[in-house]
Amino acid sequence: MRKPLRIFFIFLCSALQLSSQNENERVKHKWYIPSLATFQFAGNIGTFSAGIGYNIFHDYWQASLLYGYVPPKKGELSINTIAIKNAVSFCRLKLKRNTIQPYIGFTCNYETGNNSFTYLAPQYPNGYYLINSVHLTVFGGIKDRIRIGKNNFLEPYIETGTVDSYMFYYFHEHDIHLNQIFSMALGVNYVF
Amino acid sequence: MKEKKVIAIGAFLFTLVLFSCEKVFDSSPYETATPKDASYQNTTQTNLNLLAKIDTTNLTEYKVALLADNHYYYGELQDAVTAINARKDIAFVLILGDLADQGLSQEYTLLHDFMNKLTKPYLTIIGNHDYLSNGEDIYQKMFGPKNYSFVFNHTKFVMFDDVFWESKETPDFGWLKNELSQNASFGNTVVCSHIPPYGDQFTPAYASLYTSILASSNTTLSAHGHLHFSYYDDERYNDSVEYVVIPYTDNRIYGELTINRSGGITSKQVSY
Repeated sequence: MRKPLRIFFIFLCSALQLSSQNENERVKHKWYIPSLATFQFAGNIGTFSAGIGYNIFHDYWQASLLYGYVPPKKGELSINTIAIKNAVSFCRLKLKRNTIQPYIGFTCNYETGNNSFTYLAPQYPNGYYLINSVHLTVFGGIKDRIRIGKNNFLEPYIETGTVDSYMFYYFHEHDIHLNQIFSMALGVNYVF
Repeated sequence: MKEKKVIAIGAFLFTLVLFSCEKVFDSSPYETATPKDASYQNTTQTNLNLLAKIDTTNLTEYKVALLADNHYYYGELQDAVTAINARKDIAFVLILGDLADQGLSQEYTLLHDFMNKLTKPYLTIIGNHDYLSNGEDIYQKMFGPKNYSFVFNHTKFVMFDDVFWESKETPDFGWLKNELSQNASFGNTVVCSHIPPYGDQFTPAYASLYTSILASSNTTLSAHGHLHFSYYDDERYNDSVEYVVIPYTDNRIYGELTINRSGGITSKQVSY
């Protein structure tokens, strides 16, 4: 394993251990046991997406893996995606019954459709197309942690975000406006 | 008190974003859904209907503008639309493929929105980039069939999908041959396809098939994009067909065809 990758891996494991050891609000999990399940509506990773994730660094970093699905409506294709979602927060506001936490983040979104590819098919010369099976999205959101049990929380959240290609078009062309490229997502985390 | 303030600010921001986004919820960049507004569906037929309303009684000579490969050059496309709108002698516009860069629904929607500012009808053909992701489905939904033809003022225009590598099917040369089989009854015949026969996706055999179909049917002109630079050639295949290639939109050039109703087409390029 390359040195930078090994350092990152050790750092990641340490972070996961740290988050588990210092968490005083919840039951301590083994570091590899997910600490949340998530369900999301829209947000460029599927009409519906669901997955599992980890709260790291005292819940200031949330990493999750989601499967997204766009169901086929009339005459449309179904879409299947896998997304790695990362969200980081720099502050939180503790209220009487709940905690409100804004965050920003990105997803790495993978899709294999009819003409989406990670590697070019043999008929194409080198460099004919860029990879189009992966898109990044960026988003900002706010979540509200509500205790629903001794060690369980619900975190409804709302986000607004966009896709890498749309951002490129926005910066490339002054005639494209932010309201044309940003959209919203709703979701909920079940933290355990 | 603090809690109420936070909730009020959150609700305000939520409302602000909710009402400012053109598309409130976006499922996926790959989705094949198009905007619900009916004007985004069957654009080809809508423009053919507009074309049919043009009074051609005294139109012995007219001009057609050719655009190609706009990809994501929306600013240049907008300038082209403005320049063409100022030309009263241009009857309509043909876009020779690659309307999108990655075949995304959002790209087609942006193109559609920019082309809505055009005051003349426009017709399109599908390009290789339009096939990417799920673009083929979106193209057919937003524009219409990939192969079609129409007649305007005694000139037949044949819009032919000649994309090989990205398509699941070989281009329908039988359809092309059939469409060109009655050329004698028209003043001119123009074939529009994205890739020229000397482009990268044509094998020598298919190039020979394409050029022989056009030559044997006395086609007047064959117009293409794809190469991103301009090219004019009426001698390559030693036949009567003129082959023109329109550069991509970033070059800020559109092609102009001057068409005589009773026969004869001249082509040139116009910078904007």
